Amino acid sequence: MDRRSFLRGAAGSSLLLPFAARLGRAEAQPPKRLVFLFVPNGKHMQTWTPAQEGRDVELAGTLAPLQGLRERVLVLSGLAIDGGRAHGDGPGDHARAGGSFLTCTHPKKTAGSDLQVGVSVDQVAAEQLGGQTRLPSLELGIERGRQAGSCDSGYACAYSSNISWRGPATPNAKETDPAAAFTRVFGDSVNPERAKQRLAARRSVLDLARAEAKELRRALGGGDRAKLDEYLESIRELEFKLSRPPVQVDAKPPQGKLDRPERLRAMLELTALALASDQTRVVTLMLANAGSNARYGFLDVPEGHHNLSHHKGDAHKHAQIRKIDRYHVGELAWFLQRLGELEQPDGSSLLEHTAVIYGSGLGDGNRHNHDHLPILLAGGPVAGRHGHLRFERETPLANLYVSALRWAGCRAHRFGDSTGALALG
Amino acid sequence: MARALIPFLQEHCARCHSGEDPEGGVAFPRLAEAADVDAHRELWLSVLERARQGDMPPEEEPQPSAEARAAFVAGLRQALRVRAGDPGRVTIRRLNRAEYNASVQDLLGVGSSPADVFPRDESGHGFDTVGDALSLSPLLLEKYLTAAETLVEEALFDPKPFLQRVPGDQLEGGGEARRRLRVFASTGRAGFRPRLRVAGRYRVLVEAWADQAGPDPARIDVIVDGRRVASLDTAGEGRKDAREYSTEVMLTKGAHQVLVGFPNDYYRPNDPDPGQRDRNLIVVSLSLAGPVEPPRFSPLMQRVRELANQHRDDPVAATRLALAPIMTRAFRRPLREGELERYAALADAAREEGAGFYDALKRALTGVLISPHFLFRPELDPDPTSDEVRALDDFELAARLSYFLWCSLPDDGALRRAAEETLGDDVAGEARRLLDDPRADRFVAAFAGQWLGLRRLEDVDPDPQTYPSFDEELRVAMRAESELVLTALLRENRSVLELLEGRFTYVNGRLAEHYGIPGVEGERFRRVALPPERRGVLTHASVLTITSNPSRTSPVQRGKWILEQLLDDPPPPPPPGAGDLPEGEASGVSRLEAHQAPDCRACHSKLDPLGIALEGFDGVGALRTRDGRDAIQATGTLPDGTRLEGAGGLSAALVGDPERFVRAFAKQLMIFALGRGPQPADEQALDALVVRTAPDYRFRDLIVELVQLPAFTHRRGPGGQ
Repeated sequence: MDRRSFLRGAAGSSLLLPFAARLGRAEAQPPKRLVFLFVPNGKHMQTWTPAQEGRDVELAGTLAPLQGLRERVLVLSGLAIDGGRAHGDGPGDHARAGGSFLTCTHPKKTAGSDLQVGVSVDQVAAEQLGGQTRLPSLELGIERGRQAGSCDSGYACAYSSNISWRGPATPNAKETDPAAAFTRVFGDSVNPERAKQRLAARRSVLDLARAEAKELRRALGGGDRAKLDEYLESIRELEFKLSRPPVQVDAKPPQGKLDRPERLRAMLELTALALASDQTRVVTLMLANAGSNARYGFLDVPEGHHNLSHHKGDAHKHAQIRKIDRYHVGELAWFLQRLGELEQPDGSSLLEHTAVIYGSGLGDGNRHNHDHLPILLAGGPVAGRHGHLRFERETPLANLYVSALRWAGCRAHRFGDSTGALALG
Repeated sequence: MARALIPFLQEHCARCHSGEDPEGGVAFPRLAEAADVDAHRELWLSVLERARQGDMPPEEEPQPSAEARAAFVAGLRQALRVRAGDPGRVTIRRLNRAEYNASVQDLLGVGSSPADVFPRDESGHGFDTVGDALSLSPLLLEKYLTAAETLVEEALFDPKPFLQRVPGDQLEGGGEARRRLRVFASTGRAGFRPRLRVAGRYRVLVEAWADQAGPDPARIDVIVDGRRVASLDTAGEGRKDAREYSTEVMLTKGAHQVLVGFPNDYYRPNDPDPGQRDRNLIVVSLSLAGPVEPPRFSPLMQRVRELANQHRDDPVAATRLALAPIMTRAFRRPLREGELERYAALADAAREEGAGFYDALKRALTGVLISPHFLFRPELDPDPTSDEVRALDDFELAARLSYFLWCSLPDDGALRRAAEETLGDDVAGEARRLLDDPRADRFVAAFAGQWLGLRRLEDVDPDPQTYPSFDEELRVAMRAESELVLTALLRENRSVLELLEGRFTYVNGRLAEHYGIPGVEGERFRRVALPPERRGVLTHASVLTITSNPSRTSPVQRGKWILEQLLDDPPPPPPPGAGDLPEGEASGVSRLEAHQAPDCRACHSKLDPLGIALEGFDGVGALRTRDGRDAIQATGTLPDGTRLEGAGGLSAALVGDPERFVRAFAKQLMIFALGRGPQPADEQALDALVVRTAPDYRFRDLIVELVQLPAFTHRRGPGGQ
């Protein structure tokens, strides 16, 4: 086994048996999970969109890696995020594409003084589903945030490097190191006696921290209080997590320095394991930050992704973009396959109980359009209605989120700019 | 919005900036909404800025008279309640990653940088000191907690030396346990897993004897963490010659594996000499002891230890005596009533649960390190609902100064002067003192890391086919060069204009090779004259690399960088769908001809010439004469006809308007120092900085003037929002 690429233990898909047995007693029906995968810079839409509509489409072109999973995949064409558009704010489509992707609201244009966007759909779900698991939600990414300058036309970088927003001004920072993410989900291996002592110490320390923060908050005004609220909320979430011991999995965090494809694989595997062992039910993963200009050297693409996305119809650039698109879809296929292998206590596969939403906040990177987005739904909700659906133009992507939330058992009257739930055929 | 401003807006702005498809995507709100300036404050502030600088209306449109423009600017200022000398509102600041690392290092004397694994801080207005943008997530809090736990172990380890001796029969692994011994009749290894609380040099002791046979003596291998650290020949024969064999090894804190091995078995049962038939190793015990040299403590931790040891018989008092100086330093102010008790109670509780003195103290210190009083820098107002302006107290000033210039907590000297209430009397003197300290290097790293964008070097990924010479050594050297130049300007109090026209730099062997400077070898950086084709930071490989694409230069990005970072004149972003330059046959400069289109020309006539002047340097900052098939033409022409011939011409043009650069530079310094975005009231302050440091504009002078501004020494209350 490659020591770096896989978190998977020697026992393969049976590694979760002890947990499965426990869950089997507690809950007859496996819980529902939601996964949101973001890719930047749009897609080459000509090779993304299936030619036909309906059940029996062939997944070709960019989507070819999914052909074997076609009964679990539904391609949704014609969806839009109106909040991503300028609305008088001028350029900055990449920042807005990132900021609006899961919030379906219009991010406020600011260099950082007053971030404002909606609460994201994963956090709406986490609020309702998260009380059951150690981590209400898990935020992962492949690229760290940018460290200097602005990211896009006067927008603070927060919009480009986060898709999960717990509050209108509070992004949920993402973990980009697979080994650290693994430790966060599954704990570090300390002996039970030491773990017990540590828990007691942590509780007392966090109790004091909370009391101190509450008192300090009272002495502060306005915006400063909001910062202490973030602190207090984080304490609450951490205390809840600590109150539940992590499940033991027969898997190890990846070792050593990982290259980009290894990192993505490790994150996808971690996502699968975290869901399978019910450490969380909501995961967001940014395959790259919004507007990313990463160079996919391992695909023989020497130019940056963002540069390429401004293809101006150039066939050579199209070909390079297709390589990146296809790579990302290939990884999605691998991930779905993996969810399909992991067994739930009732014998069904994890994929049947997971909704995976994959897509970009831009359609064509050259046009910077926020409609006709490349969006794909996979897993549980697709059962019996796979294929390709074309929606009336301007149908809000938020409608899909409402459908997904309801499928997962969340109360969702409306979300963002939704006008209802999406009719999924 | 004052009614008087509306006619101006209607006459000069509304035609383009309204309706469904406004120019540049920027539309003014309807007049009814416009009355509420605060609802669109950012928009109006940018309108103010554009009107003040004369960027709008664009030159091809009818221009307002100078008086009308001035009246509009004044009126808008008033509507936006821009008050001269207003220090502005600064949102409570959380320590950013650089500040966290420096603060724990200075507080605890540790060498580690735990914040390196924290999620990267969001920045506002280009800097991660802006409190508004510094949010806190559960992920980060969890990292704060684990960092605190690790730090206290590193800072407050039990000074008792470590000794673990394991009898032979209790070792785990090969060989055979016989009575109290471990007998290796054939090759094998056995050992134990010690857990160390402190890193250092440790001694491994093997007490053993051998049955000798064959040509070689029985050998003892010492294997630590899978690596053989020693191979020792035994001497003597049998139990009577039992003795200690030892070696030393450097070990980190944490878990390790120590093994003793017998690698050279020898067995000839038929040898006529019974003494030559069988070679065995018999281990009596295996021990690990250390650290061999006692570890060194920071002065603060040394004092904590002395206090604790003096009062060892009274752990309750000792805890408080030890904790008080740490907390005062960590919270950067005198402790408030009952505060010490609350943290000390953590230690009391731990001792009641059976923890030793130091372990209990660690728990209290963990509490200090995740306390909001440490992680945030509150500046408490007497009335949190008021928006009054007040002078900062001396402790608040000390913290602002030390976080500006050291990225860290104030030292004992500053806290003492604050307690004596003398620090505020000589802010300039205190700033000079901090600048004289080596810790001011942190200011250079943090400020240049963001202003010049040096931190982005960590993430750039030049295409190895296009730039085969780029490697990790060069990446590191590029950053070091720019930091060293800024450090020199600061330490020698040289003019900040040297950033534009500097004629010396620092190179090591790797960078000298990149620049084609002969005679410099090795890793050490030394000061050298810049080759004639290079002038100032603009021609540093660092800046040239971060403003390039992975496989080619971008004159547009370089031009934009100059306007934004050096001249505070950010160009408006390109219109939607403008896209990138066409790729392919044409070289960089001829591709730019596409910018002659009417939509592009207005901005690009300003942008492109600046970048073109730097075309003599490739995407990793190496000198070049050709781009693909074309010879480089590094001459740009500005809209006013000024010709910029290469980097030298660009440098001369930039220096030709010194005030413009100094003002822009001072503005960046101000954002970094204050931790808030610029506001219109800062304009007068910036004017003052330019005037007061003219005509030499020395770096240190600029900083010393800045910290005396009301914006730095005062604060406005947050008001009841």
